[in-house]
Amino acid sequence: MSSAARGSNAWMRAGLILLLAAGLGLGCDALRDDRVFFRRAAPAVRPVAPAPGP
Amino acid sequence: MTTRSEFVVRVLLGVLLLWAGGAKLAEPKLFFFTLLEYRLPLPDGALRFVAVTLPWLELLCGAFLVTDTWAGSVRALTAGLCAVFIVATAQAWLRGLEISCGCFGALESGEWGTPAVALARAVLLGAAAVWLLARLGRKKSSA
Repeated sequence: MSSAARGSNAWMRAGLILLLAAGLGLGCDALRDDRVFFRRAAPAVRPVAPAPGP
Repeated sequence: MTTRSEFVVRVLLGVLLLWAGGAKLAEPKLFFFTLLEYRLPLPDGALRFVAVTLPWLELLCGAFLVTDTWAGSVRALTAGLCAVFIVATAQAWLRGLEISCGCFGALESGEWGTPAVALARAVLLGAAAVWLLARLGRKKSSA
């Protein structure tokens, strides 16, 4: 194998490790209750009508 | 330096990365709050992405270092990872931020977590990673 092909293989493997880390990280975060990246939207607060005046 | 010393440095670095990654993975929210304390000029979404993916990257690099899998790629990635740690801890130290580095999750406390100590540790680990990478290059060129 030429040194150029070996070099491109090394970059591909490094990219694969980065992709794997991103996939595992995002996947596990999506499955957790206390999510960090896929945080749940804040619960909607129903507007309260002003109390009728006297 | 002998092959035995390379083995010892590689396994030590790998085990440290496994420890750091595992500790962060146990409490991702705590790691995210620690990242916020670094006051890095990054958007919230990017910091959240780093908080969930960095522990896995450390775990993968640690496991691959220990087993000596994809040696060139993993050693280069580890050196890059250490360079990021050096930049992050150096800016915290230079700005005088009084924070706990968060390198080993909640397991780290007191003096061991200060930015100055974390910077020294990151420089040491970075030097080890670069040395391992250089050893591999020398081995390949002599083969």
